[in-house]
Amino acid sequence: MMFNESKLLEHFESDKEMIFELTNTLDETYPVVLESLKSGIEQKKYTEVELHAHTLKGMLLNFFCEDLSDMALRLENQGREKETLDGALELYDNLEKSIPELVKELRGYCD
Amino acid sequence: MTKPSNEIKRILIIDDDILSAKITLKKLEKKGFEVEARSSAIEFLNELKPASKINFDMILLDVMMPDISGLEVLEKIRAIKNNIELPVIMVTSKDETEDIVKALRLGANDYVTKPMNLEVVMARMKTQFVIQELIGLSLQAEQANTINSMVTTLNHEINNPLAIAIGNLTICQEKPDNVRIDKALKALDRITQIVKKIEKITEGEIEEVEYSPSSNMYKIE
Repeated sequence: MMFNESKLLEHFESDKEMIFELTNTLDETYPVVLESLKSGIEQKKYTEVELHAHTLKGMLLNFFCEDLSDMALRLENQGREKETLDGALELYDNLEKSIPELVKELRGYCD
Repeated sequence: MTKPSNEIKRILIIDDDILSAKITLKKLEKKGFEVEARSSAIEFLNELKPASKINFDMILLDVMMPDISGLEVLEKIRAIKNNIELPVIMVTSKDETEDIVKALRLGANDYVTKPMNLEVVMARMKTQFVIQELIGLSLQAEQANTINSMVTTLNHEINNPLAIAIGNLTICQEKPDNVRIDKALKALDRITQIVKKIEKITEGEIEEVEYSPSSNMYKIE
């Protein structure tokens, strides 16, 4: 599973209906954040990268997806420390590919 | 003035992360709070004017936001409401220690980290509400003491005109004297004024006004 099931259930008090509703909210909101993140990476705007990666990390942490939130954290750190953004696009591509899979998995889990 | 502890508390969440805000909102609503969420801090600040009544009992404020930082928002809130009038709990990530310290120095009451554990959030909120209530009770007691002191002082003030009235009327018993009667009447009039002041105080007709930048005083209306 892409998320930590026990932590997720504990966090939402086993309310799968709420998890399903919030998964839909994730599905609606992450594309905008990803787009802003990509723009920041491409234009080498470190503050933008830090900010949008931070938001994405927060969104993913709500579902206890440690691997994905770690990727977002790495991007956030690159932005904060104004490091070279080498590898940032790969991290972004992973997130872009994996978040829809996460959404699908969460929905299946709640059905 | 703080709400009685049994009244429903109104919580405002300010967080650009709509998903996280929604999660917190739903969880707090389940626990009986009235909750609103704003994703734009700038929008919130535009509603925030010095004379306006902010109709929330507590704010959960995200630190990192795109349009303005949570620390700047906190500064603007604290310019019009102190940390007892409107507690603010900052919402941060685990690695934002520097921001947490800055926020506490700027007047944040406490902080929680994301993802927010409901029990931790509730405990932190409850602590702030209890502190608020205790300070409210303490201020009420202080007010009662001050009012008692005012009444006691006024009671003492009666002694002088009373002595004048009695003294002059006593002498007039032996030897009527219009001047002395007039003095007695003026003294009785003074007593009447003092009694009226005491009446106003006991009926709550007093207001708290600024005496100096660091202290207030009570004025009889």
